[in-house]
Amino acid sequence: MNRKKLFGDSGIILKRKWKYLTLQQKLTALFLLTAVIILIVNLYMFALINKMTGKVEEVYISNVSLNELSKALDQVQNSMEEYLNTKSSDAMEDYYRSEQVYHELVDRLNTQVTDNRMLLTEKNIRGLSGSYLELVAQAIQAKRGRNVEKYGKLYEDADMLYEEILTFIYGLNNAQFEDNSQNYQVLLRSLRYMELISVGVLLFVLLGNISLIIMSTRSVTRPLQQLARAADEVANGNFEIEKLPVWSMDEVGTVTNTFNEMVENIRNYIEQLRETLERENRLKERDLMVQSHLKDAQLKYLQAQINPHFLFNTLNAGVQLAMMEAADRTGQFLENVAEFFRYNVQKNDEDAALREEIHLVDNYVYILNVRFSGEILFSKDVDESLLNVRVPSMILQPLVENAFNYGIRNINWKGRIELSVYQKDREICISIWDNGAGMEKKRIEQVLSGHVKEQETTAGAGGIGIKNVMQRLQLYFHNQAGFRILSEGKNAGTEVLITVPAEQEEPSCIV
Amino acid sequence: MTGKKIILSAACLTGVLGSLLFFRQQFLELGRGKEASYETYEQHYVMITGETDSDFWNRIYESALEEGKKRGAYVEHFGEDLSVEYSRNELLRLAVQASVDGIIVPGDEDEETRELLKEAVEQGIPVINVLEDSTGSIRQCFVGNNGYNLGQDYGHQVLEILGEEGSKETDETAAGTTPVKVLVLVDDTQTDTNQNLILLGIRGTLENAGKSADEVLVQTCPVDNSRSFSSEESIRDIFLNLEKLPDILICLSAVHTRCAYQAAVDYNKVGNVQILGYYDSDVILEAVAKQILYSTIAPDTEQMGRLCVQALDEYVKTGYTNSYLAVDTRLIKTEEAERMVDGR
Repeated sequence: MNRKKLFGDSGIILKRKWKYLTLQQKLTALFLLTAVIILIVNLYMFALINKMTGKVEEVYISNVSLNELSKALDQVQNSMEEYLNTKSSDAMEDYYRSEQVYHELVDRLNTQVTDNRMLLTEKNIRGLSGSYLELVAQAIQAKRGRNVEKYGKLYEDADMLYEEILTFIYGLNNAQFEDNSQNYQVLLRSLRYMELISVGVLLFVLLGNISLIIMSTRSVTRPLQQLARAADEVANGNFEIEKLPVWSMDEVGTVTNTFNEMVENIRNYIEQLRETLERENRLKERDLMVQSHLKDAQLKYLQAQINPHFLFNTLNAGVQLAMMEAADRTGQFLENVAEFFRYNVQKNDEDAALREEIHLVDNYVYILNVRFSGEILFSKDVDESLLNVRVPSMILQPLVENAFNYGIRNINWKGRIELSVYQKDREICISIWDNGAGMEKKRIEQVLSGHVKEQETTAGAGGIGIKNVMQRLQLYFHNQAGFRILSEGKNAGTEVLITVPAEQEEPSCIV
Repeated sequence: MTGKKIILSAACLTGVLGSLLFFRQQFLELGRGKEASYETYEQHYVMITGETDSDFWNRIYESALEEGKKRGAYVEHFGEDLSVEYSRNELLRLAVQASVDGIIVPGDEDEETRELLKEAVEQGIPVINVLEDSTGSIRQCFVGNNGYNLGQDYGHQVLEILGEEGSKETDETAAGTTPVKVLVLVDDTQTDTNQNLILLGIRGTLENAGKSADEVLVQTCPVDNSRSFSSEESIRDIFLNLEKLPDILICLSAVHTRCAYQAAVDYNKVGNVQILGYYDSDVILEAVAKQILYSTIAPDTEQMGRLCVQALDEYVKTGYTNSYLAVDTRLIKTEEAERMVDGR
């Protein structure tokens, strides 16, 4: 449990440290780590193989020691023979020395009873050597005692046993040589096998290292890939991406952080821009509302000023009075005035047939002629079949009023106004022409684009301006109506030409 | 680091460590010498066998070895690995000089053998005679066939053959022209009483059955065993000398049986000479199954080896053992030989 915790802690510390390394440090650490792993594995295997080579060298050591044994035995035998031959003290010394050496060597031989052939032979050699040394000692003793017969016999026995021990040593040597050769072969094979295994282990370690490198470099490149994808998204205009996670505090981490901030800033900027625009739009809307309310107020004011019923009743009373006083012209005038105002009041919000509009123009021109002593020469050229065409109300009268006020009112020659209604192709044309003051091209453009002061296009108090007429026409005919002002220039007269589609769609109800 | 990464890293690490451990394990396995694996025993017994007939002696040795291991003793096949081929007595002397704990050796009537046996016993090394006894020696025990019983078994076989042939050739035998010749091959190097007992058994059985020397003539033929390969030559000589060719040939050793059987085949005497064999090696069993040999008598080699070690061990531990342990024999005839050959 504690160990697990320890591993966990060190893992966390390592992770934290790794997080704060730069890219170069990370890559260097990675390559160092893999190189060190391979180096350690190599060293370890070299050490093992080296050990094995040492073993190969030791393979024949047992043969060497057996050879030593047989040499020592030879020396014992020779020194005994020498002593028996010469009885010299040198030979005696030799005998003691060689006997000592042989004894020591024999003492190293196995004493255990085992089922191992070679060890058992060692035991036999040990036993035989014991008997041999005893025989030799006895022979030497007999020689000292000059017991010729005895030492002769003992020498024969010892010599026989000597030969036999040599045979045993020879047999053991052979057996060991055979065994050692086998071991040698096995070791040689093993060495080759080890080479293969070491190559295999190295390959395996290499594979492990490669996967380690792949894994670690992926941790470096993955944030880069994410960053690239996110940048691509942003380039395509999508700012609504999620904030990129920051895995490490290296260069990529820094770039990712910066990128996140950049996207956030752009997003904020766009939001601010949108809010500003919205605010402006709201302000404009409010202005419009104010204007509209003002208009409404103006209208309400006018309406409040003139009670239409009172005005009609009053005008009718005037008509009756004129009739009673036989003032026919006054009566007709008052009747025209009454009709004019009734139409104004009734049709303010509705559409009307062209016939009604023309009738209103007739009323208006009559009133004007009474007011200005028949100065206006008004003529009509109307296609009768088009009298039922529906148009927005109050569009012709303001135009005629404009033609009078700005066209012919202040001219020195006889003013003329012509109203013509005709069909041309699939359009119905309504033309109001005057031979008055005319208009400059610039002025026409100003009027058509609406850049003229309100007062100038308004046909006096309660009148309706050109702009208003244009707007209502477009609304009523869904932008299919035409409104043109034609004039050759100053004092060349003016024609206002309205074109509406002959086959009318369902018109808008409210204009 | 995600769980997947941790698992991958752990797998890599484990792989590297695992392969290193594998490498080390392989190294240790290879470095371990063969001599390291051996067992130790308390007693060191040696078995000295004849130079010939290795199969027969091997079987006895294997059985002795196995029994010895059970009793905490290792039985060595003494002198087997040596480059010089020592005689049985030389090996016996060497075994005594090597101070082993016990000796199993086939005995003989040789005086030198008796001396060596005496020397061994005096040095406190118990000696067991196997198969052949060294009568008059002070060996601890003899493990082998009862010679007289063995002789009786051969005698019964001879009578059986005589019975079969008698029924076929009644006239000839009744006329008493020539007696049936029975030749017993004896080892001339072994002046062993066991062989005499066998002969006695054969003769006794025949006499008891009322077969006089006129009817059945039992002779011995000494086989020269002194040199290597000489026994084979001696046996071939019998087949070459037609006058000497017996009607029934009795072999008392596995080698003699094999030589006689091969000679009978080579000189086309199968059927003319009825051979009674000894031992149950594959070759001998096959020969019996093919009716080249009339029958064979096999000693229980497994029992022989086991009894030797038992006697030795008993003596070493208690200072006392039976002086004679009999080994069972088994008569194998054609049908049984066929069964055994098929079984193997």
